Amino acid sequence: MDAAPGPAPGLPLYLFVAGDNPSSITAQSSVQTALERYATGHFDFEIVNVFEFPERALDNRVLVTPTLVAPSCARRLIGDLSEASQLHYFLQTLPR
Amino acid sequence: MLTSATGVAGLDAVLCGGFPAGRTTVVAGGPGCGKTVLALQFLVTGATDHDEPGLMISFEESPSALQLNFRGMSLSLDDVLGKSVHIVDGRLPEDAIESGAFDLGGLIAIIKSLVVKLGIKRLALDGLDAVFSLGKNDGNRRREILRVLTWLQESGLTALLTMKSDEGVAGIPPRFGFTDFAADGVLQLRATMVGELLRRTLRVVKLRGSGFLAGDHPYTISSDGLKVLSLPVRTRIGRTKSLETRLSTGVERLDRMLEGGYRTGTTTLISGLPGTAKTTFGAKFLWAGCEAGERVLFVGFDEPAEQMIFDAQSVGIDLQPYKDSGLLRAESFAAGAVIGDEHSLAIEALIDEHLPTRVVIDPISSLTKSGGLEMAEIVTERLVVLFKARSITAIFTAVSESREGEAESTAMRVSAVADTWIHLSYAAQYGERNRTLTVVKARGTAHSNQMREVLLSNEGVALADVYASGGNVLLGTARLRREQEVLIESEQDEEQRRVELRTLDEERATLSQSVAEFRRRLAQIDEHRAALVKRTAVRGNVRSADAAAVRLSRFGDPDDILGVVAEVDL
Repeated sequence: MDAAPGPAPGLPLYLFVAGDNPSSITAQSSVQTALERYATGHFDFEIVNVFEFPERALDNRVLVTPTLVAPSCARRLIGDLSEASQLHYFLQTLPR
Repeated sequence: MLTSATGVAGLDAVLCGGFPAGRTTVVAGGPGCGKTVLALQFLVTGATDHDEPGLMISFEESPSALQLNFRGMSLSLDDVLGKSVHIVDGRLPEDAIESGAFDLGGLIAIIKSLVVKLGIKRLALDGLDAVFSLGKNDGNRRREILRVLTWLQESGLTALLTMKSDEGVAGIPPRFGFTDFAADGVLQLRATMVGELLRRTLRVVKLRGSGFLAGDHPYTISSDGLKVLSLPVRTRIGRTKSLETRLSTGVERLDRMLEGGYRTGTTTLISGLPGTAKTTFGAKFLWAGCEAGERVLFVGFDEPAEQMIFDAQSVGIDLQPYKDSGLLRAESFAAGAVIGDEHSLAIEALIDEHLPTRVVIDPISSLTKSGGLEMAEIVTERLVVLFKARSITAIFTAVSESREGEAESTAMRVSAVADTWIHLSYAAQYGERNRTLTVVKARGTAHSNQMREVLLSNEGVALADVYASGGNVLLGTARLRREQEVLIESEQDEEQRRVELRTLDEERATLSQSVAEFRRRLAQIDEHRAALVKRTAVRGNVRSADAAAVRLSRFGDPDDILGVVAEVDL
């Protein structure tokens, strides 16, 4: 599941998904595209399937999926992240 | 269908057992309707009484806030929290921003894992709709709630799903009307204003596979949680035998009018204008119970119970010792402060605590202030049913608005549900106002239909006969005068009889004297005559002896001799 590229340890960024339902797949590709385009190497990105790791969902208070969480600065985006500009803004405004 | 006890007093009866076990029930209602309290009661009961661990996902309140809120309640959340009842914070973090369609996959994953880990049997999703507070997409919300409902049905959990609702047509929340199709039960909680008072009602919109009591059921929220008031479908009598016995009214003449007193387990209405001694009769009834060692309860509306005890003292009814000893429980409430349902529950709670055999509610008519005539009727009826079921003998007093005899106090229809109806009134005549008592009805009793005058003094309450005279009923001084007249008449009769007796006695004495005189004279005569007879006989004997000698010498018939002798003897 780990898809974080780059040598330097980046900011942790988790995308919680519910298996492979359509919105999870949409969100997954949206984030990956955005990261490749704007923020390669800045993030330690991980995709978490809530059905595999329900404890992690509970710890992060993730009840809705997909949820993109930056745990270090307590910010999150929920939904399929199909709006690229919103996702771009979210990633850009995270403290580095 | 198997049911799960709800933990809410009275609700199981409405649901004919409880929530459908292994199924999902939707609880819809506006803010402050008690949805969360209901959900927690459901979980705590499951954990405490049925060995069914519970899980709540709280979408609106933090678990710590919930715990704090419930500390003031008798619901022992603290004892079970973290052991057999678990609360998960389901609130969306404040930093969350919505971007596109989402689903409740995380929720289902979390529930699934906790069900396995903690052996959860009961689940409450409290305020699920809050998850969609960010959403603008109605289709998304609808689809996801349906998804959760579908998953819940397969899970075998007994679940409650509470959601906010606005008032909808026929009690079905308009925004969540679709849940009706997927849930096995739908419960609607509602709050309406009756005048200035809040009234809470609950309605079962649907309940698959089970009957239920239809209609609106009032409920209250107190430190004990929700309580639903439902009238039993069948009215019954606690102890059938009780109807054969009678309890003294405390007033001897009234006992006689009612063949011994009020029948055990029945309700008596005492109606009357203000100041006609309604409360006094109630106090006397309670006093008689205490005298017999019974536990009794006084519920006063609008006037402090202490005042009733003090006032009763002024007419010679001393209740204070029984108040002190605990036989008498006297409580008072402000009728207009809360809705009638609350009063009904408060009285029920007092009865459960004190277990009285006699209850006086004074006056029941005050209940019109706690939600109008209809509310007063509902509460009265509920109390009558309750008292019958517990074999409690009760008196309701009711203040009449007018002096018109039979028409009053029927407004509340108390007179219809009461077994006995005593009406107190005033009669104004000859410059006086006197209290009267009439037994208007007495089920199962050959009661006197005569009016009585009520006499109050510092020695107590008593009844007196009234005189009907020339179409008028005589009361007060007029009655006293009539009583005196009767007395005088009888005194006159007595004197006359005495005189007559004396005359007769005198006459008799005179006659007796005469009789004695006559006897004496008779005796004298007899004596005198006897003496005379003796002398004649002696002389005759001498003569006849001579005659015999003559005859012997002449050889005559002895007959002659005999004839002579006979003449002499006679």
